[in-house]
Amino acid sequence: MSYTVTLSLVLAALYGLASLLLSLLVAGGWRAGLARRRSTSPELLALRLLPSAGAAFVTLGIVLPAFLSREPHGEAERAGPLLVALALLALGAVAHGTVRGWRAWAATRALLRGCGPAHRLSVLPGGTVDLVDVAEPLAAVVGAWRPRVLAARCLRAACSDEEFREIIAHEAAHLAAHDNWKLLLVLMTPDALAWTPTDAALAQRWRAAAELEADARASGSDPSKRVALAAALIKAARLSSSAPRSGALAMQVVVDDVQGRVRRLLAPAPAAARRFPLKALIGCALMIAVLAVPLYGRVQELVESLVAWGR
Amino acid sequence: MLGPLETKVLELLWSKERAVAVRHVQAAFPDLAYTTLMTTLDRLYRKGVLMRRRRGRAFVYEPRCSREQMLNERASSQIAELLAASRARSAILSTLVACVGRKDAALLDELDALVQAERARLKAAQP
Repeated sequence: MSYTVTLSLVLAALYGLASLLLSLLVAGGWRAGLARRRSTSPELLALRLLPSAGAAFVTLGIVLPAFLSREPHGEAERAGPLLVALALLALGAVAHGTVRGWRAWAATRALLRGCGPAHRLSVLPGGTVDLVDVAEPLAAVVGAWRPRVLAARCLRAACSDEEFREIIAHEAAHLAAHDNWKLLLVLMTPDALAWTPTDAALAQRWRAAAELEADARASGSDPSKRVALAAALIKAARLSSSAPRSGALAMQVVVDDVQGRVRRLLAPAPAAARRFPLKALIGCALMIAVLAVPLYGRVQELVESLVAWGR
Repeated sequence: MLGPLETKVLELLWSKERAVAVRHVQAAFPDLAYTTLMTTLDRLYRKGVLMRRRRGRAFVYEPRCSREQMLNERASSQIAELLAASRARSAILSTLVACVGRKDAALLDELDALVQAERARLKAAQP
């Protein structure tokens, strides 16, 4: 096996191994108590991305430099079955993430096609909304690359001007937070966590936290805006649960979600004081990468034993 | 989903303002066989797009609803389907309310009462 092939296999296998271990760690932590903790959306996003981001760091920040500096060039080597299996695991995770991303993209395109012609309205300064003729009380940011705010005419008709402005401010808050990009990232993240129930639970919690934060950003500390948004949420929920529909496609609002959001809007909890320590995390990662330099010899020994395992 | 021929036949029926038989449709599609058009009309009927009734020995067909109603209905059902499936298929979408689960009108009434009470309190507090 050539040097380049060995290097590619080693990187894929180490990515697979690290993402598997970190996925198990996250799934275990989630069951052990992280699920019960009240977390912000950046914390939940970081937890969801930890296996793939951590594995990428281990692979590119430690294993790759160790391999490049210690492995003799031009030396042919035969890979053992464990290395191949771990590399296949990594490839499977990448393929799974790609398929999920493609499905999301296709579903989004179908949704936009299904909405038909739109009437563009300017509701907030610098923000436009496309009014569409659909029976569902749709109000959403759709798409990641060129996201559009869509709203159903029935929702516009049911809400007062102030309520509708708050709905659009809520969607604008999603736009400003790049929530659709984050959702795409959550869907496409290539790791073993995507094959566990923790993936869906984490994604659902992240979505719920993102909704609460968009509510808070849209209405700020203005009580009249909060009340208007709460009233709009109830109207959307009522329209959704009363719209005529056919059996298999029946959808109803998660009233529990609406309840939590309405109660939070009417009696806002104090804003979370903690900020996500992104800079500190990047600093720690860089420090670990530097501290690992003297250990390259040991890392390369581990890699060698992984390559040879079962041969 | 309708095929290209089904769409053309449906467009023709929308342009007529009465129920028509297969032979009337064939007059607009002289290149197509009678049986092809009969099958197409039957398929549209089975898809619930057309209504039919017997007139003499043949069936006559007419659209179940207007073009606008149908486009609206199809768009809504597509969106309903996509939103319902969004947890499984996850369109790139941030919706105002997640639309799966069970409705509870009484709870919505209770929440509405809270909103109205808060509105009244804010109004009373205004100078």
